[in-house]
Amino acid sequence: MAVETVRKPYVRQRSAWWWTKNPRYVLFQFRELSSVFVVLYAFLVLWQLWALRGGSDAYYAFLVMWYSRPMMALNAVILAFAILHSVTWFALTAKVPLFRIKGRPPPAALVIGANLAIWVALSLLIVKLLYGGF
Amino acid sequence: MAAAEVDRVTPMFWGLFSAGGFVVAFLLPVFIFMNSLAYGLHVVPWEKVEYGGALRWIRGDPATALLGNTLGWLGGWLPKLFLVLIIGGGLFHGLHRFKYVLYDVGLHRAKKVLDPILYGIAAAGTVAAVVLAFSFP
Amino acid sequence: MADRGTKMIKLRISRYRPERSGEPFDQEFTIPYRDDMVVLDALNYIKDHIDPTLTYRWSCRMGICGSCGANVDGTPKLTCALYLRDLKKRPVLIEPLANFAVLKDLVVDIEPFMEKLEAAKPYIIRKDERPIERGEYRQTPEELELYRQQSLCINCMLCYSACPVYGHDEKFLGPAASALALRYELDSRDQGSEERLAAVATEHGIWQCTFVGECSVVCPKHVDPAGAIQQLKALAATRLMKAMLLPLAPR
Repeated sequence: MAVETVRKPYVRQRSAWWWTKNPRYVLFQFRELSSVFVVLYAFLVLWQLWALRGGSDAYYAFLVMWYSRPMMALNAVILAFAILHSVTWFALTAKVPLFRIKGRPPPAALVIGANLAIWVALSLLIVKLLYGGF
Repeated sequence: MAAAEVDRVTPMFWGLFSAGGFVVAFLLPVFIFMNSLAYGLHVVPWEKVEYGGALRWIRGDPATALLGNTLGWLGGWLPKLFLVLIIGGGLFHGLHRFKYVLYDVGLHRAKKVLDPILYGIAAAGTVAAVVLAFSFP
Repeated sequence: MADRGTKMIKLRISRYRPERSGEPFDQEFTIPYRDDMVVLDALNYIKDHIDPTLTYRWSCRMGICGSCGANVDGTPKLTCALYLRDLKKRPVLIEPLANFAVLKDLVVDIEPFMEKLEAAKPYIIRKDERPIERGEYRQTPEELELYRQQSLCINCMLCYSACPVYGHDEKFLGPAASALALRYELDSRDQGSEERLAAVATEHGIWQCTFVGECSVVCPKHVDPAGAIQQLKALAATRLMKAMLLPLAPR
């Protein structure tokens, strides 16, 4: 621009702790952090499959580690983050209407409710179908 | 703003991220519970988790029994498919999201490096899951 | 100034006076206060009675011009629509909108925002331009309803102030411009979808969005930019898939 300016725009630096100032930002950071635990669990299952390939002794050693207290605690944390992902994911998908009812996107509560219902039903089906019940 | 180039790569991985997001949301919690915690919480017996039990699980015995004669052949496929979905979906979902976590802590100029590394890991892990899961009878 | 018994309120305002100081600083003001005062009333009181150099933007006082946005107690708000009685903290902290360069006191540089709006091609693009004699492009109320929500934006920039992605990537297209792009994508009269999607589906375009969702929370007009960006992503992704799977189909 050719116009002479006396402006001195001041650019503020964002603090690394910006997300602690608003509970919704905190929830967002935890939601994004769930990705680390999802990836971690994928690798743990690959390890489990590898141990199972290794035969009876290798798998027994794996199970001793798998059901140790620290590992149970870690897996409980992973489960907590997985559930956080599920709940927040259902809330997010309600924002992207895949279909319309009478020209309007379906109400968010309906989409979230339907997702939760499918989630519970699928979980029970998996317990029954893949694990033969408890 | 100068005309920027259309991003033709990200939409594909966004598609995998979204599909993986659904897989993880619907299937992962129940799998973590059954695979990692149920035995420790005395919900399932030892016979189901020890070596023989794990082999019977991945062979799909419960599903084969439940589905009966007509659909029984599906039973052997279901656990393996389930594992591939969870691992592949989890990796493509999680690593895409993790990329943006890295962007946020200051690596947003490293897209060209992060893309091949993270999506490469996701692809390699998915291939490993297919090979491992289907190596069982 | 004020009678005994008049309620007083303390405000802490972020000041920046480029001709005097290199850095912004905070200044506190204590002013008489009534229950029906909004934050903008307090700013006007200070300017009229205490310090005429206090600088801020405002115009309509009724939540439609979009010029009086500021961060109040850390949250982007229209100062004309925020009652002091609804604020719990004392002193009330008033800062310029976050993520923008400050020009003076509460006035921020809106130039980057204007460039982003332009980049979204916010106008009807026609492949077959009709001569004026043939009249206007008609639209039914139902067709209008499809994009009405996204058309309500007043360009107040609160969403940019709330957006952490814009906070670390100043090239990010951002919430309002994306919502505006979707507004024209959903317009039955528009034929420029390909061109417009190409303009917003770039590296620093919609794909930077991580769906924090705070833009939609702070939007005073319920435009829901966060939802709009996800819809654009879905549009762009499906179009790309179609182009790859059906290379011969018309795009």
